[in-house]
Amino acid sequence: MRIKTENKRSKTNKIIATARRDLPAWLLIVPFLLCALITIWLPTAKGIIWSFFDMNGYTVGEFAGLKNYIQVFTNTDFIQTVLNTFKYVFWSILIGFWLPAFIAILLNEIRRGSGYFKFAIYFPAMVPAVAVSLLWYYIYFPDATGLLNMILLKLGMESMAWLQNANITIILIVITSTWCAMGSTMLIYYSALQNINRDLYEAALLDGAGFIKRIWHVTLPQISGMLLINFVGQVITVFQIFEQPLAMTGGGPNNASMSLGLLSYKYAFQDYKVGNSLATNMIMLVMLIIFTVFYFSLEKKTDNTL
Amino acid sequence: MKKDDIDRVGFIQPIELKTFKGKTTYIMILVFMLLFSLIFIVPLCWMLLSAFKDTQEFLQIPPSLLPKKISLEKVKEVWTFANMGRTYICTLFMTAVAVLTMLISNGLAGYVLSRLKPKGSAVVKTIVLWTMMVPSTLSIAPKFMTFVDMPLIHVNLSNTYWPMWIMAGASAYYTLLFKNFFDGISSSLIEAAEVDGCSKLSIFFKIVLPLSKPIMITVAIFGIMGNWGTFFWPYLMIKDIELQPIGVRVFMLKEQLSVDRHLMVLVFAMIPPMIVFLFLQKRILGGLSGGVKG
Repeated sequence: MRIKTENKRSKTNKIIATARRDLPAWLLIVPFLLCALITIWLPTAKGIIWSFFDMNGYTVGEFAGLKNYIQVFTNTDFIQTVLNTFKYVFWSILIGFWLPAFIAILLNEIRRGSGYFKFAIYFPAMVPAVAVSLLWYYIYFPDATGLLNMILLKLGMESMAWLQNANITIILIVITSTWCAMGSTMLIYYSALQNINRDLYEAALLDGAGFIKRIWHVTLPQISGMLLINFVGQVITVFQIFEQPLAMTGGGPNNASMSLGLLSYKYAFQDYKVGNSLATNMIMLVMLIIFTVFYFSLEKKTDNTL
Repeated sequence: MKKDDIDRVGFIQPIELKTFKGKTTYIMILVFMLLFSLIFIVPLCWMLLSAFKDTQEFLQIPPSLLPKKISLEKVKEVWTFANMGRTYICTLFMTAVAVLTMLISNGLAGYVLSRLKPKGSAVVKTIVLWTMMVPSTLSIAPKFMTFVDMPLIHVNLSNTYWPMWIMAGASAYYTLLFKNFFDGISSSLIEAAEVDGCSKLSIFFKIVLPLSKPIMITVAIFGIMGNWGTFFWPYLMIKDIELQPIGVRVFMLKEQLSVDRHLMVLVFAMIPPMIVFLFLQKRILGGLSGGVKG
C-alpha cells in the first residue's frame, strides 16, 4: 500500500518536473500558436461550419442545411466561373509551369553575364504584385497608349482590345502572373542545376549522347522531384487566383475572367452574402482535395511502375 | 569574372565549345536568352520612360521613344498629390513590425520544435505541417469577421496594422524553414556549452542566435518583399486613406490619375524594394531558396 502511494507520488512528482522543465519551451511557442489559432485554425473551422448556416451580413443566423450550396450551384454564372478557373489552371500550366525550368536549363549554359539574366528575370518578383498587375493593365491598354498596341502600330498593324477581349483575358492575366512569379521558381531550379556532378555530363559525352539526350537523361532527373512538387503547388495556387483579376479586370468583360476565388470575394464583400462565399470556398476546398489525392495516387502508381 | 563561373559545366562541355556544333548551340542559347530577357526589361523601361513624359507627349501619336525633357516638376507634383511621403512611412512601419513579428514568433516556434522539443511538441509539428496544406484564401470571410471583432476581447482591428502583423506571426512555412535550419546546427556545440555550465538562455543568445544570422536574413528579405507591396488584407482592413500602405494606394489612385501619372506612382511603389534588391542582390540571387523538408 505504502509502496503504491509512493509510486503515485513519484509519478505526480515526475509530471510536475516535466511540466516545470517544459513550461519555458511552451511559453516560447505561445505567440506562434496564438497567431495561428486566430488567423488560421479558428477561421478555417468557422468557415467550414458556417457554410451550413444562414448568415445575415457578418452575423451567424440559423442552421440552413445546404441552402448556401444550392444558391451557389444555381447561380447562372457558376458553371462559367468553374470553367474559367480550370482555364486559369490550364493556361498557367501550359505557359508558366515548364518555362522556369526551361529558362533555368538555358541559363545554366551561359558562361559569361549570367548575372544580367538572373537580374532581369528575377526583379519582377521583388516588385509589389499589385503594381505588376497595374503595369500590365497599361501594357494591355486598348488604345494607342498601351505598349502592345504601340508595338502593333509600329509594325503597321491595327491596334486591338486585349483584356477587353473575352477570348484572351485569362491568357493575358496568366502571362502577367507568370512574368511576376517565374523568377523565384527559376532560381530554385537553377541552384539545383548548379549542383549537378560534372562527371555525369562527361560520362554522357563519352557515351556519345547528344545535347538533347544529355538534357533528358542528366539534367532533367536532377530537377524532376521539384517539378512534381511545383506542379501541385502551382495548380493549388492558381486554382485560388483572385487578386490579379480583381486588380486588372474586376472579373470582366462579362464575367470572362471571373474565378472561383473572385466569386467568393464578391459574395463576401460586395453582395454581403457571406454564407454563399463560405459555400464557394468549401466547394473549392473539396475540388482541391480531390485533385491532390488523385495526383498523389497517380504519382505513386508511376513510382511503382518505374 | 570568377574562374569557376567559366569552368562551370552545363550540358555543353567546355571542349565542345570549340567545335562548330557546340559554338552554334551556345550562340543560339545566348541570342534566345537575350531576346527572352527583353520581355522583362522592355516593360520596365517603358514604364520609366512613360512616367517621365508629360501627359500630352504620352498621348501623342506616333509615340516618342524618349521623353523630350525630364521634368522634376512632374515627379514632385505626383509625389504631393499621392501623399507619397506619408504612404512610405506608413508602409515602412507596417513592414518593419511585420518582419519583426515574423522573425520572433516563427523563429521561436521553429526553435522550440527543433531543439527544446517539450513533451507533446511532435503533435504541434504535425499540425503545422498540415496547416501549410490548407489554402489560405479559403477562410477570408471568417478571418475578416475575426479581425473586426476579436474573440474574447471584442476589439475591432480595422484601420490598424494588427491583422497583417498577427498573420505574419503565424506562418507555418517560415516556422518549418527555421526548424530545418536549427536542426542543422551541430549539437556538439550546444552540448559543449552545456558542459561549460551555460544556462539555456545564454546558449540561445550566445550560440544559436549568432549562428542563425543567415536564416534570419533570408526570412527578413522574404518578409520585406512580401509585406511592402501587400495589397489584399490592407485593402480590406484599412479604409482610412491616411493609413493605407502603398499596395492599396497604388490601386486606389488608378481612378484619380492620368495613365502617365499613375505609372509614376507605380515607379514610386517599386523603388524601395528595388533598392533592397540592389543591396542584397548577391544574397538573394545566390539562392534564398532553402526549401522546406518535413
